[in-house]
Amino acid sequence: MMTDYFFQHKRLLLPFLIFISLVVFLYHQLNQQPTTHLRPSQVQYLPQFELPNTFDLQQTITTQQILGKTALVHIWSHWCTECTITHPLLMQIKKQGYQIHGILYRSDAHTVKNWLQIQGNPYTYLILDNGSLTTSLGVKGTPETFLIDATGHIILHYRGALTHHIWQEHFQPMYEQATHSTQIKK
Amino acid sequence: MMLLIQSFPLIMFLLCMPANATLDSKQLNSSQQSSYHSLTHELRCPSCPNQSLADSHSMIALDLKKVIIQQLKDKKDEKIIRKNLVSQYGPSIEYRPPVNKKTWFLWFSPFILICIGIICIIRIRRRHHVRGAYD
Repeated sequence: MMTDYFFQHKRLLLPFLIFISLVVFLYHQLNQQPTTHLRPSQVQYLPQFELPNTFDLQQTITTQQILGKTALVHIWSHWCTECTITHPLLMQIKKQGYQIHGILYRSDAHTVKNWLQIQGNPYTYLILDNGSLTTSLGVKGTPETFLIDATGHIILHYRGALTHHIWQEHFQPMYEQATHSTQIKK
Repeated sequence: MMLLIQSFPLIMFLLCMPANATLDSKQLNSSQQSSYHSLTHELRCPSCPNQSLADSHSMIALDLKKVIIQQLKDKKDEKIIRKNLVSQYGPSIEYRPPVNKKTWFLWFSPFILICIGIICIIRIRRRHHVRGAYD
C-alpha cells in the first residue's frame, strides 16, 4: 500500500530521500573521532615572558633564553597522568640530541624536582607558569606540545600526549627541516 | 558560649569569602565590570564547550578570567581583549561568531530553509485551489 502511494506520487520520494541521507550523514558524523589533535597553531610566535625557573625559583627564564635553536616545548604538570606517560619518550628524544623545554603548569616546583631526579630530566629549561603563558599560547589543557624554530615561530602544535608515532611522523621531520634552514641562514 | 555556637555558621560563611576573592572583579570600575560581564558570558570555556567562561570553574576558565581582569585593569579595550582571545583559541571560543565568508551559511541557512518551506506550502495550496475549482 505504502509503496504504491509513493510510486504514484514520485515527487514525494525526494524529501524522503533527503531525510534518509541526512540521517545517514549525521549518524556517520556522530561516530567520527574529533578533528585531529595536530593543528596549525592559532598563535604564530612564542610570546614574550619572564617566569620563574623550576630548578631555581630565585631565577627567571625569558623568551630570549629559549630562542636561537629549534626546540620542542612540552606543557605539562606533575598531577597529570597523561603527561607522565610521555616522559620516557621525551627522555628518548633528548638522548637522540633534540632540545626540549618544558612549561610546568600549576605545579609544585619541589615535587617536580624530586620526581625528575628519579625519572631523569629531559628539559633544558623548565618554566614555572600559573596560566599566564599557557593562555597566551592557546593551551586548553595538559599535555600539549609545540615545535618552535630558532626565531620562536611555532611550526607545530599537538594537543594531548605525544606518541612515538606522532613524533616520528610529524615532529621529527619538521624539527630536522627547521634546524637545517636555520643553519643555511647562518 | 551560646552566642558563639549560634554565630558559628556566620563565622564559617565569612571565612569562606577570601577564597572567592582571588578572582575579584570588584576591583574593576563599573564600565570595566560590564565589559567583564559581557566577555565572560559571550566567550566559551575552551575545555568545556557548552559552558561560558562565567559558568565554568575549570582551571582554564579561571585562568582566562584572571587574564581578562588583568587586561581590563590595564585599561585594555573590550574589543581588543576579545580579539586577542580569538587569535589564541580560535573562532570557536565565541558564542556569537561574526558573519563572514566561512559562517554566512550557518547564519542564513535557517532563513533559506524557511523560505523554501513557505514556497512549497504556497505551491501546494495553489494546486489544491485549482483542482477544487475544476471539481
